[in-house]
Amino acid sequence: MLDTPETPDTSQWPLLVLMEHFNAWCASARREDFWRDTVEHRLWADRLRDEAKGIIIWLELRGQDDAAAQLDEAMGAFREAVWSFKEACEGVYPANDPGCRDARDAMIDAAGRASGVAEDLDSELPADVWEGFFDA
Amino acid sequence: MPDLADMVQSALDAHAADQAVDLARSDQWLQVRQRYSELSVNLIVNGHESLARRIDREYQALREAMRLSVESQNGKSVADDYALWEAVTEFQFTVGHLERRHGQLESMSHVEPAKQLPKPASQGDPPKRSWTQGDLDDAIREYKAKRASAYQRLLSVLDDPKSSPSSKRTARKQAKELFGRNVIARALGVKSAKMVSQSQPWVAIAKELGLDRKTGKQAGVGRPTRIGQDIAIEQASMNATDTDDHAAADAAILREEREETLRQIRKLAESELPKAKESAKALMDSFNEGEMTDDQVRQNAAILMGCDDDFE
Repeated sequence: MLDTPETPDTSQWPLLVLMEHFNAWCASARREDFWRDTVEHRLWADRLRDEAKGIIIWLELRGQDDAAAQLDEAMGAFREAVWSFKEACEGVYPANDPGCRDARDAMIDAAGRASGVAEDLDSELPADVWEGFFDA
Repeated sequence: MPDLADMVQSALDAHAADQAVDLARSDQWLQVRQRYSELSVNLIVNGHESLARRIDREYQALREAMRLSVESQNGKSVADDYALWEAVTEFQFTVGHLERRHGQLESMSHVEPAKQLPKPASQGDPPKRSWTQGDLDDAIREYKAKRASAYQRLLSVLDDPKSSPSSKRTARKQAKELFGRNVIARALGVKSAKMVSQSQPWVAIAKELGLDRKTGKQAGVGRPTRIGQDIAIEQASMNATDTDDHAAADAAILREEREETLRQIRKLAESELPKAKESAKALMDSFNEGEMTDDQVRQNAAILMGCDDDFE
């Protein structure tokens, strides 16, 4: 019988769930078919913003203002990158435009940084911060 | 209580394809503004200051984006103006999460409501009703006529150069107690004391008796500044409801009254007074439960802040 590596259950750790969602978004945005679904990716980015906002609100509610501010700042940079991407790609055939491709890469970088912040915060925050998070 | 995130969504559903000015002037947006004020004050009286600061900040950013969009006249719809759309959605996400955690916000409150509040003297005032300015002017003339002898007595003291400073002070105090703006508003059952300020007969009384007249601008002095109060679009949205239609005018007056009451609760909560938040929370609870009217809440807040002279 083969040993199957255990996949850690991250579902109880909101920041790790957010990190995974960001990573999935980044992986998808790197693919060439990204250019066919830019609208879908923007909607997906909005869902990530909403998810992150839920965590930020919770952290502030639990008095973790510094942690909330770090995630907030990373999300602000991500929003700005999404905006720059939209500006750079408006009116061009996106896939062939170097400026637009650069903006896509910058957007992926910003998402990667937000993912990293989520992971770092998860390791820094005490576990009991999340008590009650899923009760809403 | 309606969900603020849903209210924002309804406003967007109705006006996403319109320009920012249409959204700002819509009834839906006025309701959003009022509900936001309630939510913000609720957060403060429950001791969640950082969350209150967050929605204040985001609401301010949203209004700024709206103002820029209106001023630029870029012809873009709400949905196509990315800066505005982003600000609206940020605000919507925040209030959505806050609404979903409503119960937890209460249970995690750091503030216990005060068990006792001051009891403003009950004067058996008539119930409030809507007035036209003309009818109110007539009623104020009648009010003055019924108290003509007291009026003349006060005037003779105030106008007499031989009156001592202390008798003038007493006369002024009595004048305020009999003919003050809020006193008349309560005595006649006027929904908005502002209508009394705008009444020419009352302005004449105030001038003769040397009463403080609070014009719109003066009244704001010393109060916490409403976020972006001077933003033109919001003024436009207020004017949009200023019609001859009684129902719309009534709704606008009630909204204004409610916002003023919320400002007073907030002012109390943010003051340095001992047990300020506890008292503000008790007032907010009573207000939300309908146990206190706007006037009662404001009188209580004024007494607690030691400025109940404002209510004379």
